[in-house]
Amino acid sequence: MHTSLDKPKVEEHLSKSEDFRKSYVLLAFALYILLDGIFRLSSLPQFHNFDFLKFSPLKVPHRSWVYWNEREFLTSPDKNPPDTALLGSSLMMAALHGGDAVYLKQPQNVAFHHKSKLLADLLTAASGKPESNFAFALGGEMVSDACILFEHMLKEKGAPQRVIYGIAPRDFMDSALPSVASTEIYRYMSHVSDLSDLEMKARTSPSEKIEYWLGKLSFIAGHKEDFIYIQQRWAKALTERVLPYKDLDTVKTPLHIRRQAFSELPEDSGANEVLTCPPQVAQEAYEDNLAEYRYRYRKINWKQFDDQLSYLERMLSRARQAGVSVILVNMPLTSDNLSIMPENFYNRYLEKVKTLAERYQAKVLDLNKTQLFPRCYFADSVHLNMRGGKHFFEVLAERLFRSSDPQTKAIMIKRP
Amino acid sequence: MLFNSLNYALFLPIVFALFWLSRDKWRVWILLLASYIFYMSWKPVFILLILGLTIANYYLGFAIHKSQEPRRKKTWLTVAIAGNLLSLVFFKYAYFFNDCLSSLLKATGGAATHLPFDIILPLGISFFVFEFIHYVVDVYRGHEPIKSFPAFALFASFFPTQIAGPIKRFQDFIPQFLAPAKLTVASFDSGLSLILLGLCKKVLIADNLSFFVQGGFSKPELFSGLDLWLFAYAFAFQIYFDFSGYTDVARGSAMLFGYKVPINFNLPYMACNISEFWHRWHISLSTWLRDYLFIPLGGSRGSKWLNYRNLIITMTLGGLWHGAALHFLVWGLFHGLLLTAHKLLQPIKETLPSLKKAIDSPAGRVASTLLTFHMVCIGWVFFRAETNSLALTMLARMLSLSPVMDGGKQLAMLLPTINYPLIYPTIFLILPLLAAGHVACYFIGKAGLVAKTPQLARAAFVLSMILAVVIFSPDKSPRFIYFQF
Repeated sequence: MHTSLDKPKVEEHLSKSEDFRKSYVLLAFALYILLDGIFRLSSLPQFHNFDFLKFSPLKVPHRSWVYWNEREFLTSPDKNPPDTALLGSSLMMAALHGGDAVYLKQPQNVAFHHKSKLLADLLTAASGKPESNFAFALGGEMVSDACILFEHMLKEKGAPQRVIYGIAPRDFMDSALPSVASTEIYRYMSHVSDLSDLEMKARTSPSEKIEYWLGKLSFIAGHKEDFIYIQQRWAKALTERVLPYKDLDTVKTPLHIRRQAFSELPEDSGANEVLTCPPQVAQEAYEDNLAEYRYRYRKINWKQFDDQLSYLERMLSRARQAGVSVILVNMPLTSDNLSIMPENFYNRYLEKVKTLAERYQAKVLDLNKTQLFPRCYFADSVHLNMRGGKHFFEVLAERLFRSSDPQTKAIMIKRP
Repeated sequence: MLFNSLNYALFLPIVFALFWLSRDKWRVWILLLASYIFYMSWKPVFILLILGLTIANYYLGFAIHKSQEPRRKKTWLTVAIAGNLLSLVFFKYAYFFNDCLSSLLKATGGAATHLPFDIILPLGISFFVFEFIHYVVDVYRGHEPIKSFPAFALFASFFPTQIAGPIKRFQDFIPQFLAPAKLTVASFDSGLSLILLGLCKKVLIADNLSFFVQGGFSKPELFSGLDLWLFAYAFAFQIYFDFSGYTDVARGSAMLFGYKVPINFNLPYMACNISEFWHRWHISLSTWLRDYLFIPLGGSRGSKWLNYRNLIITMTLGGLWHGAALHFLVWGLFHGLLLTAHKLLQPIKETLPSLKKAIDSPAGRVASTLLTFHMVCIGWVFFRAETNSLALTMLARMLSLSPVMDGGKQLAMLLPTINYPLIYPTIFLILPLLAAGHVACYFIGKAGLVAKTPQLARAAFVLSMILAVVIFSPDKSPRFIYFQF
């Protein structure tokens, strides 16, 4: 007969149940949940007095182009919407900065230059009435980004009289971008604006969706950028106090280090960093960037294209509801760039855009004509150079005001 | 699948739950299946490689064991080692040997040779091949082969250690698989704490330092000698926190399943001499090299010159194991020479009592530690620089403390003039803090303070690590450095 003493020791050990209430790791997770709840509560409007974190969309660790843009737009003392809102990707952005650099004969600081003086003067001269504008043209801006920026503008300052939106095929299909939510503009605007109706649609991969839900589930995870900002402020303050550094916000860095930082964090730029200076030579340099665009066009993704097209439709629909006239400008490109696009892509793009524009009574202005923009106006296969930028706005203004089309005329007449 | 990815954060709890909810007999199979899924998440086709080598080594182990005749036994061992090494050489060194051959042919007026196919280096091959070699050699030396195929397959493919070690020993590991596993609070807490600690080391320290290090190593000619010393120090800490961070996650993950994986690091920069450094750095590799390369070469037997030769060969091949490039080979050779110099100087120290007393005094120990650290940093320059000529350029500037010209001014250091990205100015705080932390950990470990820490303080420490991981984990963290080896 066996007694309990005969039981092997190992079994005795196995039969003991572990008391996980003694786990310090589980205690730490419980404390995390508690802390997360406290932070969440303190951020509620009802507990405004206890909001010790004081997060703000204008306090971010990485100062991207969209940050500088929104910073100026949101903090501007002018509470009225501009007469014209300019939208577009780096194609419009290059024209905006280059055009003004040539027109004003002075360097333009990209971080603070969001109004086209050239366009304002051209439109004022043509209409005889003062014209204002604000440019939401940002590098890498997809149609979905433009739609978000436009809706945010409507919400914050009301409807502008018109939107001039410079579009190109890349804005609808870019192999370098996995999803709508993967752009820096989307990421930043999700902090500034309520994008809850887009959040799930904007994420395509399961990991993006899980990350989104984790961000919703945990206040700390959802506000990691805000916490990183706090950490950076502390690190800067400590460094300035302990070490002989004065102003860590103004960038003083050798170019190769800066370039490396750009490659690691492309969406980060100091206030003093990027200046567009008027050209010093008769013929501006041309850079071959076809390799980059081969990559962007490498695999035609019609799903992404249709998805982006749906954002254009949404934008046109909202514009129509708000009484905003939209002019879609097909941006000039070089024939080299057109030649590397997948077959039928360009024609399908233009055809779809025209169909949508017609449906929502928007105007399509096709400036992609070699006779209008020969190669000497290009800095690379897609971006206009500085003189090209000035030429672009001159052509644009001329086309808008000298048009015999009654729809265009109506758009350009300034409302009282 | 990277340890520092969301995929792993989902994968690990699923495997953990399946493992502990299933019966004992299924657990090895669950881990084996999970390990193969983990491996296939990168390039599914390479499962054939690890599976093929597993089957071959499993049967070769029996063939070696069953052979009665010593010659036959040796033949099977040779076949096993050659097979393992050939697969490693083919995948890892084919380009390297081809480049060497091309350079040789070009130098003698011939034409360069090209490989007729592209070769992708399978993840973790350097590690599992070493584990297989250890297995067949130990079976040859008289150990019983592993009878259970799933246990053997799991030994080589166990997902926590699959990609970058630590290199395990089957004698320690297999009994753990075969014994009934039990989830204890201690292993659960230690496992999760280690995972969090490893991730903190990676995302908080190694990734940030990597950004700084890249700036100096990409254009060393732009910096002064003193600047370059800072880049070398930063790399020393980057690689330590990167690799030890990886090991912590690996060990922590294994602990969650009740398995103990050997430690790989023991505060290496506290070593007083280069020999001690190798007892503290990548311990599982250095002991492997000792047991399966240094000793078979003759080890310390024979004359002292044979001993030095064996040491240099072992370290040089150990260097080449890290990567198929000459700068890794030079790094290994450099460490071989340092170890030889250390062995040569030992008798001199013993014969001079005053020198021995000075070296063994507290001040002497501090000076030895600093000297060892600086020699290791010189070695890291060869390791990190992309070519030997770049390493030599760097070292020439470092050793001559050459100044740098900036806007017509001669500066002893350029780094203090750089204020962006933030890691540049803060490096002057970070490096002393890391060094102080290293020293503090040494004394905390010595005083056994960790065991005396109350539960609440431990919970607070773990909470701070959870916060750091949640907040600072970037969307795309770089791969661990040792993944490439």
